[in-house]
Amino acid sequence: MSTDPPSPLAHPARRGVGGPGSDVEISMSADPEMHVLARLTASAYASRFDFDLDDIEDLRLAVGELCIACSAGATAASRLTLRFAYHLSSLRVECTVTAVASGVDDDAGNPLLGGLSPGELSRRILAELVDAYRVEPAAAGVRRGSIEMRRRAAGS
Amino acid sequence: MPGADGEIDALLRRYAQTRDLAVRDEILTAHLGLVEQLARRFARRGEPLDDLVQVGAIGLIKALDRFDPDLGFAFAAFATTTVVGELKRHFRDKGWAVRAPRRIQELYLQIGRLVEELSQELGRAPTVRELAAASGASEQDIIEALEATHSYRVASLDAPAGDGGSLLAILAGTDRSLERADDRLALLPLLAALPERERLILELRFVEDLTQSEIANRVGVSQMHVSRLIARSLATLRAHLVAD
Repeated sequence: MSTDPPSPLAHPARRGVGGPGSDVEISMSADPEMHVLARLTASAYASRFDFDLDDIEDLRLAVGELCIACSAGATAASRLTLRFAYHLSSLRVECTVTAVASGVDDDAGNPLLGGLSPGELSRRILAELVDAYRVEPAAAGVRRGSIEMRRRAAGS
Repeated sequence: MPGADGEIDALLRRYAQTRDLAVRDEILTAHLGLVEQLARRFARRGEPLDDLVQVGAIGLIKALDRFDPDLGFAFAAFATTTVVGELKRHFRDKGWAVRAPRRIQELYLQIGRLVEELSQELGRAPTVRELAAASGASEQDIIEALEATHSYRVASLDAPAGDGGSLLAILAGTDRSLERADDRLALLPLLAALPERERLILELRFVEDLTQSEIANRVGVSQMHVSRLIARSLATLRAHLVAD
């Protein structure tokens, strides 16, 4: 078998090395119907760095949940931006939602959720899916959050 | 139905002391909405929601049996952790790694049939919205199935088949002109470049060993059409290999 010459497209991201050159950023309306793009990007991005199928599935769910949590109080003008980064076996997703309405109470208990608030529900779910998470209160019309998942060593 | 925190707390304390099943049922009923919300988060892989609610309900019962009201934690928060854990275990033990590809394949086949039908009906290819309406699946499910199926099919071309071979190996052994290739790996990009349906048909024919009629039934086209597509696909592969 002959050895192929290096591809002109060869890049650290293609080899699963990560680093700043492999970062991906996507921006979309904060409409929940658009979250499918976030989840698909999460799956594709994690697969490039050899996360196993279970972790990819957890990450996909977690990114969807992060989008939901950060979109509390979102308006028709809100933009949701996600930045995916992989470094030192850890995949980090940062979420920013703009034009968030002030005074939206995401922490009011809901009887349909056994008294949990939607925000608390999202945080509980994230805690079960990823290694670290953070959802900040909205400030100046912008809400930020992030999740982080470490790649497990093969066979662990 | 109890809803206020105070009522739930009282029931939780009563259940902890008495283990009265009627009290347990009241608490479980009050939290089924929470279970359903959590099950919905996990339902996008196509697993029926009702099944996931059942799995979540088991987690809820486990949470209730372990819950100690004297520790001062909110039951709903405690239960959420247990229910999500139960749903994750369900998929890890039985779902994602093993069943998802088959389910995705089935959904893909369903979509394939619908595309044929709707194309004839509409005189053009259907949209995702139309496919969702016709299949009963959500638009997101359709998009994700199409995307996942694409990844799966490309990855599965060189995966071991039931008899220990792979589509690549079997194809290379089936067709003499393909056998001449110095490196069977050369087939991989060629197979990947075939239209999705033609790759699927080759795999059904040469890996799963289905007859052309069986393939026709599964894909939703005539046996004659399957025959033509197989011949055309092999001719395409052969032509590429000769050209290379």
